[in-house]
Amino acid sequence: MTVSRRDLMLGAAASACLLSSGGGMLRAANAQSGWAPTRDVELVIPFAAGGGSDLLARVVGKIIVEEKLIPQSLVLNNRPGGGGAVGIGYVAASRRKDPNTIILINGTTQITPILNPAARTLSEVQPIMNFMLDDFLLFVNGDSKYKTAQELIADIKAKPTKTFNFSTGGTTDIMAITVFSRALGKDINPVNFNSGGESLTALLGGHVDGTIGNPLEFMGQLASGKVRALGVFRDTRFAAMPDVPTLKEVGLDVPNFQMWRGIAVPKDVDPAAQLYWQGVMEKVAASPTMKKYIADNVATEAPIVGADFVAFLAAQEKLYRGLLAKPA
Amino acid sequence: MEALMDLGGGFSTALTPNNLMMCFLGVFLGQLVGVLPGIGPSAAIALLLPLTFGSDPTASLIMFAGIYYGAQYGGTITSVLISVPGESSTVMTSIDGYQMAIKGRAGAALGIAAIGSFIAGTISTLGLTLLAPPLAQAALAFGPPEYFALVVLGLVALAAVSGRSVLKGVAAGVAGLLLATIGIDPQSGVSRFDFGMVWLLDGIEFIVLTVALFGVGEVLASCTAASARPVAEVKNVLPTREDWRRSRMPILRGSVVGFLVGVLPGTGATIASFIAYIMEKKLSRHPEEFGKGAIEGVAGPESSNNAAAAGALVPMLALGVPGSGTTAIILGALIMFGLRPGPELFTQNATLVWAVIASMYIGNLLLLIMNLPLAGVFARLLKVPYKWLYPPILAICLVGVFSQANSLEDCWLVVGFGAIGWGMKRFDWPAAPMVLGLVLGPMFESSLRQSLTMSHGTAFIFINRPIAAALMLAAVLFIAIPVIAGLLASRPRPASAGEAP
Amino acid sequence: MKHRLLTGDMGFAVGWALLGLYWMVGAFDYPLWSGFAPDSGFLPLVYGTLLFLLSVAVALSLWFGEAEEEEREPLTKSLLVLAALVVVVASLGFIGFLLPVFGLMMFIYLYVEKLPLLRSAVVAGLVTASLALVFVHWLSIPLPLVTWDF
Repeated sequence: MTVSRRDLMLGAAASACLLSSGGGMLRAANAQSGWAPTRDVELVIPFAAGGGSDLLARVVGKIIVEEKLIPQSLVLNNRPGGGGAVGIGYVAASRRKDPNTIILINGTTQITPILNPAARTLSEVQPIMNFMLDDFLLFVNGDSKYKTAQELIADIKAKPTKTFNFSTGGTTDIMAITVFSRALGKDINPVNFNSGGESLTALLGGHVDGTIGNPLEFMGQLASGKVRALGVFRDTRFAAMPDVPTLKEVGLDVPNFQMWRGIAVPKDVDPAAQLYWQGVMEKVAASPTMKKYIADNVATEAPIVGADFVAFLAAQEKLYRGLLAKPA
Repeated sequence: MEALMDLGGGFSTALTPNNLMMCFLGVFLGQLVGVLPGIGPSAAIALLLPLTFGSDPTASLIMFAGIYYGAQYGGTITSVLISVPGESSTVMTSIDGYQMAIKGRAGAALGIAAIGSFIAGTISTLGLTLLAPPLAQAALAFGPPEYFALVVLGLVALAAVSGRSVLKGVAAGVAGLLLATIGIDPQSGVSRFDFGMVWLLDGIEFIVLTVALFGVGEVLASCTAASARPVAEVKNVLPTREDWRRSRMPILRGSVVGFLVGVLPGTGATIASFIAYIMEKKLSRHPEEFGKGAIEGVAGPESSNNAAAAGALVPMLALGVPGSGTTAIILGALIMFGLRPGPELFTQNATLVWAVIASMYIGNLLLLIMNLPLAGVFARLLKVPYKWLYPPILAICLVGVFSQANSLEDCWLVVGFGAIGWGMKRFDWPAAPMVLGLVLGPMFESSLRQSLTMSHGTAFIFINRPIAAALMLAAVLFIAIPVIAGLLASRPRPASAGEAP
Repeated sequence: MKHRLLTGDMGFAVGWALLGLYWMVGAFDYPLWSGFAPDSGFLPLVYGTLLFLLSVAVALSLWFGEAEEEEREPLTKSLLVLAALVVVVASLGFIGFLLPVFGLMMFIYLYVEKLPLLRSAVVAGLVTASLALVFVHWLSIPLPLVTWDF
C-alpha cells in the first residue's frame, strides 16, 4: 500500500517536473544540492484550528511528513487572530529571516491590511507557492421562483435598488457580491453572516433571496435540490456541475473572481532556502493526497511558484483594492 | 418505527470491536480535553483530523462525536473542583458546583453531573434518532429576528444571575457586552477598540475571560485564607436520595431545553447551559440557595450542555449545516472523507449516520461508567490542603489559556482579568453576568443588524414574525411579572428579581 | 463613613463609569448608521452610555446608602501571588514555559506559604512534568520552549 502510493507520488512529481518550465527543473535540482533545514521546521498557521486554511496546512504537513520531503521533523503552530495578522506578526517578530519556518497564507491575509493598514501581513513574508483557488457561485433556494440566472438578473434590474437580500459569509463573499452588483449596475442588499455555514442556513430557511458562496458548503444541498446554482464566477464551467453556466455566458461581464491559498517563508530568507522550499512545495502540490483534497473541496488546482506567485499576488491585490474601494 | 430498525443496524456497526474502541478513545480524549481549560473539543478534533485521513470514516466520526460530547463531561470536573471552567459550556457549573465542593459535597456535584449528563445525553440522542429531519427543518425557521429575540430574552435574564445587587449585576452584564465589541466588527470589517494592538483584532476570547474571572480570580481571593481554610471533608461521595429528588426535574428540563437550543444552528452548549441555569433559578422554590451550592444549579446546566451537544448534530446530520463551532469542524471532516453533507446524508450514507447515532448511546454509557467512580476519586483531591492546591491551579490556568491560541498576550489578559475578578469577588460584583454579556454580545449585535438589513430598516420584523414575537413577549413578561407582582403586593420588599439576603 | 470615596466598591463603580465614557467617546470614531441598519459605532455608543449611567447609579447608591462596615481580608498574600504571576508571564517569552511555571509554584510554596522545601520541590516538579507531558508531548502545543526545557 505504502509502496504503491509512494510510486504514484514519484510518478506524479516527475510528470509535474516535465510539465513545468526548465527553470522548474533547475530549481528542483538546486534544492537537492543547496540548503536544507537545520532544525525542526515550524509551520505557522495564522488561523484557528479547523478552518479551511488550517485544514490545507495540515494536509501540507501530512504530505511532508508521510513522504519524508524534509530531513527534520515538522511542528504545526496555530497563531490565530486578526485575519492572519497575529500569526504573521509572530513570524515577523520572532522568526525573522528564519529559513526553518514556513507560513500558510491565503486571500484573507491579503485583504486584512487593505481594510486595516495597521495589520501587516503579506508584506512581512516571502510567498513561495500557491496550491489552490476557491471559486464562487451564485445560489438561490431550491423553492425559489428563479430557475436561471437570466430570470434573477432581469428581476433585480426591474426592481428598485437594494431590494434583493443576499446572505454573505465573510469579506470575500461581500467582494463577490460587489463584483456581481457592479456588473449588474444595481446594488444588492448584503446581509452579512459570520461564516459560510450561517449564510447557507439563512438561504435554506428562506430568510434571504439568494447568496454567493464557495461551492464546498453547498454541494450536498445542490445534490438534494435544496439550493440551486445559477452561475459561476469564473471563466469556465465546473466539471462537477456541467449544467451551471458561467456568468459571462449569461451576458454578465464579471471578472474571474477566485480566492487563493498557499505557503510563504519569512521575509528576506536566504535565496537557497527559498529555492529549497519551492522544490518541496512543488512535490507537495503534485502529491495525490493534495490533488484529492482539492478535488474534495470542489476547488481549482493552481500551482503557481516563486516569482510567478508574487506577480499573481500583485494582480490580485489590485483587484481586491478595486472591489473594496480602497486604492493603494 | 423505521428509525428503530435503522438504529438496530447502527448498533450492529457501532458494536464491532474496532468501532467500540474508537468510541472509547473518543470519549476518553473528550474527557481529557474537557478537563484542560483552554483546549476544547474543536481543537482536539482539528489536531486528529489529518491522522484519520484514509481510515474508515465511520470509525473516525464515531471518535469525533465522542470527543464532542465527552468534553462536556470533562469540563465539569475542573469547574466543580477548582472553579476553573474546563469548557465554556461549564461556566455555570462553576458557580454552584464549586460552592458545593467547598462544603465538601464535590462528590455529589460530580455524581449528579455525570448522571444528569448521561440522562440528558441519552434523551437527546433519542431525539436525534426519532425527530432529526423534521426538527432540523423547523429550526430553519429561526432567522436573524428570532435569534435577536432569543438573545433579548437571555439578556433580560441577566438579573437572575446577578447575586445580591441587581444594579451591579446589570452593570457587569453591560460591561461584558461592551468588551464583546473589541476587535474586528464581523459585519463591516472595521476594527474597534483595539488600542492599536494586532492581537486584540479578534477580541477577547470567552474562555480566557472565564478562566481569569472564575479561576485566577478565585485563587487570588481565597489564597489569603488558604492555610486557615479547613480541608474539605469529603462526605457522601455519591448523591443522596434528597439530592436525587431535587435534581430529577432539573435534569429532565435541562435535557429538553438543551436539546432544543442545541438544534438551533447558531446557538450551542454554552447558551443552553445559561438558559438552563436561569430557568432552574426561576422555577426553584428556594432561589436564594443558588450561588451558594444548590444542586439544581449543577444538574440543570450540566444536563443541558450535554443535550445540546447531541442536539447540535441534528442540523449537521439532517441538513448539512453546522450547529456549533465543533460541528462545523466535523462537517469539514465529512468532506475530507469524500462525503457530501446535506439533506441526503441520512439516506445515502445511512450506515454511517446510524452507526454514529448508535455509538452515542454507547459513548454516553461509557462516560457514565467512567465518571461515577472518578467522581469519588476527584472529590478526594480536595482533601489536599488548599495551600498545596492553588499554585498548580494557577500553573494549569496559564498553560491552558496559552494553548487556546498559542498566545502570550492571552496570558497577560488572564492575569489582568484575574486581578479584576479578585476585586469583583472582594467587593461583591457578580462575574457571571459579565461572561453572559460577552457570550451574547456578538450574537445580539449581528442579529440586530442582520434583521434590520433584511427588513430594509423597519423594526416591525421583530413582531411580524410569530416566533420572534412570542420570544419578545416572553422577554417583556419576564420583566413585567415580577414588577407587577411586587406592585400588587406593595410591601416594603423590593420588586426586583434575584433579591436575596 | 469618612472613607466612602476610597472604598474598592466605589473604585469599581468609577472604573466602570470611565470605561463606559471611553466607549461613548470612542464610538464616534466609527460610523453610527449605514443604510438600513446600525453600523459599527452604534452599539458601542449604546453600551458605553448604559454602562456609564448604571455605574453612576451604583456609585450614588453607595454614596447615599448605608456604609457596609465589613471586615475585609488583608491584601498582602494576594498581591504577592499577583506579582508573581506578572513576573512569570513577563518571563515566559524569554526563558520558556516550564521553568517560570516551576518557579511560580516554588515561590508560592516556599515564600508565600512557608512550606517545607523538599516537599515543595517534589510537588512543583511533578506538576511541571505532568504539564509538559500533557501539553508538550500529547497535545504538541508549541509552548515557548528553550534549550533546557524538554
